[in-house]
This record gives sequence, structure tokens and C-alpha cells, in this order.
Amino acid sequence: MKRLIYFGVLAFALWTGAGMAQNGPLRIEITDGVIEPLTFAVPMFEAENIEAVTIATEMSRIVATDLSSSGLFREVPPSRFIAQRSSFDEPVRYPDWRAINTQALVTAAVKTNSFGRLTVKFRIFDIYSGVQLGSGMQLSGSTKAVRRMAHKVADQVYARITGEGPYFDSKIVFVSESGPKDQRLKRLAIMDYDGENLQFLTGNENTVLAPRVSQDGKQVLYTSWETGFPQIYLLNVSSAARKRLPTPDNGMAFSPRFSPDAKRVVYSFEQGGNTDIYLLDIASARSARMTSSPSIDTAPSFSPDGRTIVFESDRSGTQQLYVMPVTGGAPKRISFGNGRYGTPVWSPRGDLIAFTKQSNGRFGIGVMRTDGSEERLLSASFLDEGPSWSPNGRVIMFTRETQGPKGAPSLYSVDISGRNLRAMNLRSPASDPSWGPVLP
Amino acid sequence: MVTANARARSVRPRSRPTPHTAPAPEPLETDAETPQVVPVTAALNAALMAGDATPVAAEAATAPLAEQFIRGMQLAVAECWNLGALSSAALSTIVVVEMELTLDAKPVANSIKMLGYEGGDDISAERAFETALRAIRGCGAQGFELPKDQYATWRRVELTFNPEKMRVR
Repeated sequence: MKRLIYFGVLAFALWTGAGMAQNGPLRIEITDGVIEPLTFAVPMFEAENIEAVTIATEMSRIVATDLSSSGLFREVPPSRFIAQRSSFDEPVRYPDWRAINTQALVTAAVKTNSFGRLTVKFRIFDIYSGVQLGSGMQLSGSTKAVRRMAHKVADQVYARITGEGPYFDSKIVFVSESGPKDQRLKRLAIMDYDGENLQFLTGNENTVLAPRVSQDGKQVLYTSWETGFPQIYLLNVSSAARKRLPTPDNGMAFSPRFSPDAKRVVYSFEQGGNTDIYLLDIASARSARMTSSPSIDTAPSFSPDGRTIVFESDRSGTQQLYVMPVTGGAPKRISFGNGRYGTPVWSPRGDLIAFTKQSNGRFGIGVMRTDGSEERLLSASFLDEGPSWSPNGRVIMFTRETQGPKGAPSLYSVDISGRNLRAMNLRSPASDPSWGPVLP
Repeated sequence: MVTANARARSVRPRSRPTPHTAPAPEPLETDAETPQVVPVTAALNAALMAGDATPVAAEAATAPLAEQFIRGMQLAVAECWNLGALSSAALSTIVVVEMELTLDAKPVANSIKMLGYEGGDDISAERAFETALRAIRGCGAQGFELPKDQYATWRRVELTFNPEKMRVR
């Protein structure tokens, strides 16, 4: 309330201020600024023992790469550094960093012990303000987890400076593809957010589609043609054990997604040419029908509070997005733009819904408010589809497929501002990303 | 596997809208001849002594600042107000910042405070304030273009940073 009063008084003062003698402070409103990546420097981490030298070098590069990859930061290359740091506790020479237009500085020191433990301590400095941000942090872990430790450091820097949640220390499950376009072999794979540490979760004997990671990152739902028909499977990420979910036998089950607590699964079931949305309680193995329309209702996704789903349906004559309570009720259409909308996914922050839009012969990824307002397209190409949110709700990853007989899918990411469109650097074609949570 | 042993965040703002003093132990980088803040009356006297001590000059000292100077300061700060690394929530937060200027129109480092904010939570406000702080310090280090004979009118400045036009959603 005090804040509102303050702003009311301020507005009155601004309104009446022109042309009058001035008693209080000079009041100025700044409404224009610049949108540029924040410049940062990461001097090579100090190695506190000889065994940590290689690790220190590797970690400092990973941290710098993570921050740059977000598109919100731009690295000042070490070749431009004036200040040469000799120890972690050495005072920061702010003028030297200002002189090379560095806005944020990350310093760190790394040490290992004979038990295979790695400790990294780090500090973040705001160069223009001439202060350290926060009191510094220390992380410890296995020397086998150097990349993860570096991602954790980058996450803390990113979160402290931007105010967004972290996302670098996370994994992505996707469909790894190989072979000619008309005979693609598809299997599930998992990798770090930056494409490293690729591992396969299934063989390529059965085509798989649309993996969806649970909110705790421990399980994956996917659709497989193992029985000759699409059916839904549940896979344990650590053991790779899998089981078919108990969906009805007399039709095709596909497009599954977990509820936020991973106790229920919402999915599509096709029978006799009609596709509706069902809700499966995993423990009781009971499915309940959620929609009953003579149309194709598919691609359901839960809101983060688990109370609502968004899905696509052609019940209006064209493919559009609808929301409805999980407890039942009439679906409400939320997309009204020109074109067809599909594959909606609720943001983990709950504020936006990402979708695929087909319009004028092109496909793009967009976002809108959960009531359908403020629609914005973030990408467009021959074929962009299947958005998946980063755990902090700031970045969207999706599949982009190139045109022609040699066309192949690959993974791209884009900031929700529409900036920083980037291709993932993977060795083979990839599709259907599903971004998991930040690891503990 | 990995554990955080220290605090995840820095000190947060106190209950709003209590003025928030920038944690700035280090003074702004200025040349050795930078004058310190002087009381208004002393500044006025100095200005009057330096020029014609006439009623016209006295009126100038209290008259509203000409639009060109206000616009100039707006542009100068805006040039350094970089919102590129702000969270979506901080981009929806308006912060009001107060500062004091020296006679050569440079911000006094420890005078920059957040008076209040609107539209976000404490953390968003703190991030938005830090961005404003960088703008003021980055582009104010050399001094703003302001008329010395009107020091009384701009010695204290209240800046409202409103990112509405810069918002991405």
C-alpha cells in the first residue's frame, strides 16, 4: 500500500511539476534503455594444488561458455584483460576491468583432494558498481563431475545477476535419429543441456516418439510402435527399465505427459477415427476420459499446479488450443489467430503457453499468455515444432527440420524474448526434445 | 552430488519502501579535483560569487531546470541502462532511485538509494535496482551536462526507471 501511495504522489508531482519552481529533488523518468548482453570476464580459475590445474582451466571455460550461450551475457576475451590475478583473495582492480568494458567479473579457486573430491569457491563482482554481489559461494563434489560443478557455478552466476532461475545443470531427453530419411531409425537419448554426455536409453529396433520427462527428471514417458500400434511406455532413467502403461488395448495411445507430481498421465487415445484425451492414474491403472468430441483432441499438457490442461483440437474446424480443468468441464478456446496451433506446453512458471503454429505454409514456435493474449512468434522456418521449456521458463528448445530429400531434424533453442536462436551442435539428427529439471 | 555450502543469494532489500542504500564501499572513479558535495547554500553562494551576483542569477538558481538539460540527462542515463540480462520479472518492475550529485554533476557514490518499486517482488526490485545503479555509475562517472548556476535544482535527483517500453512480453 505504501508503495502505491508513493507512486501516486510521484505521479502527481510529475504531472504538476512542469513550469513551477522546484522545491524537491529533480524528478526524471527513464523509459528507454538498451537491450544488450551484459559483458563479463572469467579469468582462469585459480588452482590451489597442482592436481587441480587442468580442472581449473576446464571449469573456467565451461562457465564462460554457459553464460555466453544464454544470450544474456557476452564474454570479454582473456586476451583483453589488463588485470592479471595472482590469487583468489587479491582485491579486484575495478578500474582495470572498467577500462575493457567488463560489467561482471567471476573469480574462482579450485582444489582437489586425494579422496577424489573437488571444491570450487567463487565470487561475483559488479564492476560498474564496484561491489561484490553476495558473499561468495563454495561447492563440492566428485572430481568426476567437473562439468556439472562448472554448470552449477554458471547457474549461480546467471541467477544472481539476472534474477532468473538456473538451467545449465540440467538434462534433455530427445529422439536420436539415424539412417536415410524414409527409413529413419529412432531411439531415445539423454544429454546435458549443452549436448555433452550423450547416452542412449533405448535401442533402435522400435520407432519411438515424443519423450516427456517427469518433473523430478527420474522417469520418461514415450510412445513406441513395439506392439505394431502406438502405445505408451514408462522408462526409469537411471536403470533404463521400462514398462507399458495400462492404456486400453483396442486403439492407439500416444502423446503422453506427466502431471506435475508424476502420479497421473494425460494422453490421447484414438479409437474408430476419433481421438480424445484421457487421464490415467498410474497407481490404480485406471483411465478416465476427459474429452468427448467428434474431433481430434490431442497433445495435452498440465499447468504447473496440476489443475488445468491445455490441448489442441480441431473441433472448431481448424486446429486450435483449448484449456480445461482436470476435474472436467467445458474446454475453452484460447487461440484465435490466423493459422493452425498445436503441441501446446505450459511454462514451468505458469505464465505462458508455448506452441507450434502453422501459417502461410511455414511453421513457427510461439508463446501466448494462458488466456491466449499477447501471442508472439519466436521462430519460423520450413518446419519448427514441438517446443519444450527450460526448467526456469526462460528458454524454449524445439525441433527444426530442413527441407528436401536430404532434410533432417535438429534441435534449436531460443530465448523467450525471441533473441538468441541457436542450433544444438549434435553429431546426428535429433528431434522431440524434452527438457528435464535442474539437477540436485 | 554437488552441494552448495554457502548462501545462495546476497542480502535482499529491506521491507519496502524503505530506502535502499547501494552497497558501494568504493567511491566512484573521479579525478582528484572532483569537489565533494557542498551544502545548497554554499553552492549557491559559490555560483553567485563566480558570476554576476544579480537578482537575475538568483532567479536562475531556483527556476525550473530547462527541458534540454532534463532531456540530456535522460538520454545519458538511458544509454547505459542495459536491460539485456534482466529476468522477465525484473523487466516488469519499476524502481525509483534517489541520488545526490556533486557540483560538477557526478553521482555521489554512497548517495544512490532505491526509494521504492512497483510491479515485482523484492528480488526483482533488487535486480532492477542493480541495473539502474550500473546505468547511473556507468554514464554518470564523467558528470552530467547540467548548469552549475542551478545546482540547487539538481543537487538531488529522483530517477524513475520504467522498463514498460522495453518489456518483451
